[in-house]
Amino acid sequence: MKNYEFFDHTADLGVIFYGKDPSDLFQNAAFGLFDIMLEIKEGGERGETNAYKITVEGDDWEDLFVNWLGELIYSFYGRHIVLRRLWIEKIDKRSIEGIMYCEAFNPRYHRIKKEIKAATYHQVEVRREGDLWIGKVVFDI
Amino acid sequence: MHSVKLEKLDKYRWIIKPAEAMRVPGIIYASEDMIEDITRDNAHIQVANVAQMPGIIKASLAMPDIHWGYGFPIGGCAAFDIKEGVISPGGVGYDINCGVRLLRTDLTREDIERRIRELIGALFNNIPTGVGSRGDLRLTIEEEKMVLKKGARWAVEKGFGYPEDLERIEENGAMDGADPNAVSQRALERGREQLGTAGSGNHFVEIGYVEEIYDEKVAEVFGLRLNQITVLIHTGSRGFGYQVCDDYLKILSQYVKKTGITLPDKQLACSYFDSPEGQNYYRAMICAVNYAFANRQMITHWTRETFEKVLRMSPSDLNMKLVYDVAHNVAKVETHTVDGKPRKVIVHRKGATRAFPAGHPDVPKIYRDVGQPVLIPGDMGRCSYVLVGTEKAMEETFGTTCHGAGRVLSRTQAIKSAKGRSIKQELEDKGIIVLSQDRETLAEEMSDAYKDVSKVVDVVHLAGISRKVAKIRPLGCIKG
Repeated sequence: MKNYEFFDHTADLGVIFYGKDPSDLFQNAAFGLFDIMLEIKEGGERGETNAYKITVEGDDWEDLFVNWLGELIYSFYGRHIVLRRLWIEKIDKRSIEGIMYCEAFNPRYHRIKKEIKAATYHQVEVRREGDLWIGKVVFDI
Repeated sequence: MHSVKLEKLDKYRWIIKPAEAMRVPGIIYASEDMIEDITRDNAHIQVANVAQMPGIIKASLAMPDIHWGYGFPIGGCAAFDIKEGVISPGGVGYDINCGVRLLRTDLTREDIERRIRELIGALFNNIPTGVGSRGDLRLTIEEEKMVLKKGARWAVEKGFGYPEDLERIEENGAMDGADPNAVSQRALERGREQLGTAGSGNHFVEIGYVEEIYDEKVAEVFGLRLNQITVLIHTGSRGFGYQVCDDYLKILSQYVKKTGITLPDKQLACSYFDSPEGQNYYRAMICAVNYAFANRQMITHWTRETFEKVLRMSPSDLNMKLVYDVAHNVAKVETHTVDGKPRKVIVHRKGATRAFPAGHPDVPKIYRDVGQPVLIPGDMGRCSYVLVGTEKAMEETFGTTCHGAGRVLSRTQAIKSAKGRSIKQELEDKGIIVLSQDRETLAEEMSDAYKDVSKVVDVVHLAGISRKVAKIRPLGCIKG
């Protein structure tokens, strides 16, 4: 099963991410975001990864989710790094801490598919449905 | 607020009467046949939401290109008292000073008709476009701070264009009050490499020609004549403006909680203009405004260079001059007459254009006898317009008019409806050469995804909040 799907929105890009618990949801959202933004060119050699500590806070699950995605968008545009592996050390509804293993952006093996400029608060939702955690967000593109 | 009712006020205006928490009415400029699209995407509810914000004056306004946006609708305009009112990043938009610049030349359509493909190819090579595009320029943070303070003037001092360009830009290319200390390190990082790039989405550089003139006298003052070749540049403050908006949405959400301002939508986060938080956002926003003016100035320079090189012409033979440059995502302190008295207000224009009349001191001297040029880009396949500001806009809309066509299809719907079609070929069949970094952008930005700009312009013209001067037909375009 795919960890995310799109929903329709006039101005921008709506995405629903899924996970089996909060940690899994935030992890899937992180990889999903990079998957939407980037394509890995075939046969391209990948770069070495470096470890980056990531800590994000929020007022509640929704706020935390928007801030988390915003932090990853900044990592890409501000630091030019691409997520390869992620280890979430700690998560509750007000904070998330982890380590990102990232490679430097390199147009030789990364192709940018979609410019995602910001994660917005519009219609943001994080909720549990039975065994599934769902995170819904609209990206400004 | 889901039972927001629109009532017809006159032929081109619809009113939402104040109900519940609304402090003022909502007024939408639109023709009868536009109302269905407007209400379908709930943009009219957003007009009513804005009417609930503290210190709003007269009315929450919307132009005929209104469509759904974050918090405020796109095509929205609202003025707030500078003492009791608020400033809101949602009323400006993510792409601060997204705007349009029009260049004119001494060339006619016949002169270059056969060279369009070549010119478009060369523009595509010389102007960085597309997703996350980065320029060749690597600014130091200190240099970038100069850009934030000096705007287009910085670019001219660096050799990008001429000093006389500056008087043909809103605010002379640099708004006063920029404070780089109000900007985060993150915004500086994101902005550093993107100066001098057009970016993706609906941004473009377009070659066109003047197809029709509606007002000879004004067109002559603007330097426009039939069949003349023009270039239209549409872009903004790139990642820099986005980061400023994002940063302050967070800061102001906290402020809203702290002060207990009640808002119907989190994306309307705001603070009193007369507060440290409000002033910080305003000063950071001005930095982004100036960044965008510098950005369009640099792209102008490369456009001139490209034309000179491809056509082997000297700058004086080409005579590529600015007509004007407008900001359509901005908040500004202006003086307007309210209840018969002049009052300082903070006017938010989000997907709306300033349209000042003849005689206004903020209209450049060269245009002061006729009024400010207003530039309205259409979509790729149709046309664009040059309008002029009017007194009626000062009376009714805080000197504001529309900004473009306005989306009707979502990007995903547009891509769906473009399946199996070559948008590029369809445009070529209409005589418009388009180069884009990617096919999806072309699908997202095809004509069917937009309202017909001519209908939008007709409404503002007939309602009298600006007047038609000329129509420009595209010949070629580079897209992100």
